[in-house]
Amino acid sequence: MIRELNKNAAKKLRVYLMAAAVLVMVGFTHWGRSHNIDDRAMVHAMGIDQDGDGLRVSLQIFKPDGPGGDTAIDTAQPNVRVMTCRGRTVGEALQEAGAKAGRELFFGHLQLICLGEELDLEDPEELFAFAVKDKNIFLGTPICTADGTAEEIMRVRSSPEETAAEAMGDLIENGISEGQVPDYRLIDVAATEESGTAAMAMLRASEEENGSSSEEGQGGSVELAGTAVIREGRLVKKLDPEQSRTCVLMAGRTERSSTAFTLGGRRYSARLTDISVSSRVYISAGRPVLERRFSLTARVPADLHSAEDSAAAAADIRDRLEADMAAAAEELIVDRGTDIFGFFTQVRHSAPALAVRYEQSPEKLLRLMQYRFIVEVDVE
Amino acid sequence: MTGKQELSAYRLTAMMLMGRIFAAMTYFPAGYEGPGTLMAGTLLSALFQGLLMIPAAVLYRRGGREVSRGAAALYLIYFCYEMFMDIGGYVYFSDFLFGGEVRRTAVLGALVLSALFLAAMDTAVLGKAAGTVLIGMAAALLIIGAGAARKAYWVNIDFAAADPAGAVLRAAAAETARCECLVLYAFLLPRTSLSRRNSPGRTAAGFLAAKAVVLETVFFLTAAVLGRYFYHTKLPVFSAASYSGGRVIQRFDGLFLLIWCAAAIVKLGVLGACARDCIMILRPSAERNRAAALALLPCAVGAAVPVLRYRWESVVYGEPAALVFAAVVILTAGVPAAVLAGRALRRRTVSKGVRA
Repeated sequence: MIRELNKNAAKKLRVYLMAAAVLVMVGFTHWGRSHNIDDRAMVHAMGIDQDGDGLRVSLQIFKPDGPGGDTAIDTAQPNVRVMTCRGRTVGEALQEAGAKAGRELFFGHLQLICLGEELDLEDPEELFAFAVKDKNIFLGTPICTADGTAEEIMRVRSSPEETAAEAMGDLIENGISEGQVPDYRLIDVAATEESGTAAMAMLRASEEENGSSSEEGQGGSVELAGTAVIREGRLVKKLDPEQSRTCVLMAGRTERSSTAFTLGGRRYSARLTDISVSSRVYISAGRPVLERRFSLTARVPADLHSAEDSAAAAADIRDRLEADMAAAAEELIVDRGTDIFGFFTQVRHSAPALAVRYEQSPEKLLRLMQYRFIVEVDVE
Repeated sequence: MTGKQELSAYRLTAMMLMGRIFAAMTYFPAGYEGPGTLMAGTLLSALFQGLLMIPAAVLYRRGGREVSRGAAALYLIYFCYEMFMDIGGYVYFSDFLFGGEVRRTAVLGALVLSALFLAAMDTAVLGKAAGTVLIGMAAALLIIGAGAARKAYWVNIDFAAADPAGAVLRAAAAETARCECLVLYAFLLPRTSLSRRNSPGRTAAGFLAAKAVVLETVFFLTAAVLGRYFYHTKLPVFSAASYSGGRVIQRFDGLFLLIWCAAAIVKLGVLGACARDCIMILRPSAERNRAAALALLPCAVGAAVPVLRYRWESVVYGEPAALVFAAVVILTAGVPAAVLAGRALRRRTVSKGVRA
């Protein structure tokens, strides 16, 4: 047919066909389902607690007519709504929540997932299936544990200028960047599924004296309480902030940390920066050894002027860190079998044949291994 | 020879690279045993693929510019198979990549219409389109890589495998089986305009080097960023793009999807154009647009059956890798080698006849 037309007509026909193709493709986009933003309930944070055989899920849903919205008519008004729902699985609980809210729950702005300390984490893949399979949820969403119930954390209402989820999210992100708590996110659930262990930041809620509780939450604040160590689905150890910092440093992935040291009978704090870590695995006297070497700079108070003071401070920091690391390895790996430092990953990288031999029982290898921690400190 | 325009070395390389990178961006081959062996296998396969490309390069230098009817039939079967896999794979993986609920029939229809439009074009024009998409792809991968680099932990790369040497060889074979770009090289080289500076050998070497660099970087970053999640996700590169981000844009999966969709359509168009050319070699009187439709539509219908019935997973992960590997080897090296051998035999016969 095209051969019979002249060149100009053929050219016009191609243009019309192209335009028709574009219109058809635009038309195809209407075959899906789209949602008006008003039909969506934006979930900013969620808490999951054990509730008998089932689960209790608490959702912080953003209220756009609060001070987080366009206008700040009354800054005393809360900007989130807290909703609690129950189900045998998280998916079931969320269906109930959607029905209660009368809107479709949207998780594209989810900033935090908080787990109650009693929650059974034996099957993390099933628990987090709702999140991993939802393309809207960011894989880097931080996951933390509550010192208590996650619902308490969700119900805390912080300052009116920002949403509670933003405040908690910032607290955790800051804690991670300062080396205070481990970096545990949705993407790390796969590693927990394999190893059965996890270490995540722990949050604690504190109420204001005259705080009142309502659907919008209760006045109060949230603080970092250290690290929760999970093994085979159960919380086995709560690390205080100092232990938490040591364990984060041992994992070898933080750029900053802090510690304390003693000099002349006085206690000082030091900020640790420029942290570089190297590891190696070798056999010594028939036993595998994992050696981890830390090189860091300690920024100490300005009144330590002399070279002797700096050297003494460096020695104290070094000895303290090495001792704390050795104790942490002994307790958490040898006694409890919780590899929260990524040591088996290191073995897989540095000594793959050894890792393959113990692939089915990594904790056996980790208990057999010796650990050497060497810390080199420059004082500034 | 069908088609009056000729390809340049750059456009041919762009078509080949874009097709291979698209496959890597979609999913990794079934049964890969770890990032270390995957990366080593990819490097090893580059050496092997260089050897495969030699007969086609030699044939080009000796003036081989025509694809015979017998060879065209074999190439047609292969291109149709690849189109079938790409159409079904695109629709299947779209379900995982896109957040909304878009019906598979709509995705299939839009893809086939777009590809049909491209398949009716000259190969040289498609080469230009592939070059543009390749630049966009490179820019997107650079941005995604830069956003993910801070989260990369190179200790996640390991060679822990029960049989490391075997795992590397299997990865090399799987990488070759996924490389329809080699078959494109053998098929499109006769109609490519190459200067002394861009000889067939140099074009092949340039392609293999660029492919190795891009794939190694993609595999390394993906594994280093995702950690153990690398083993649990169907879509490693998409997951890495979702996790990658910056201060302004939190996640780069939208950028990934933009480039992925463009690459899918252009790749399908290239395969459709090659299949169209095969039909026109087999039947010179065939009209160009009809030949393109005849090449593409049966593959679309064939893919529609399993993918719309939600049975595509068994197709994509049950692909007969050994058979596809053999097809790539035969079509890339076997066919040109057979032509060279036939010519040598004819020359010998003629010279014997002259002496007699």
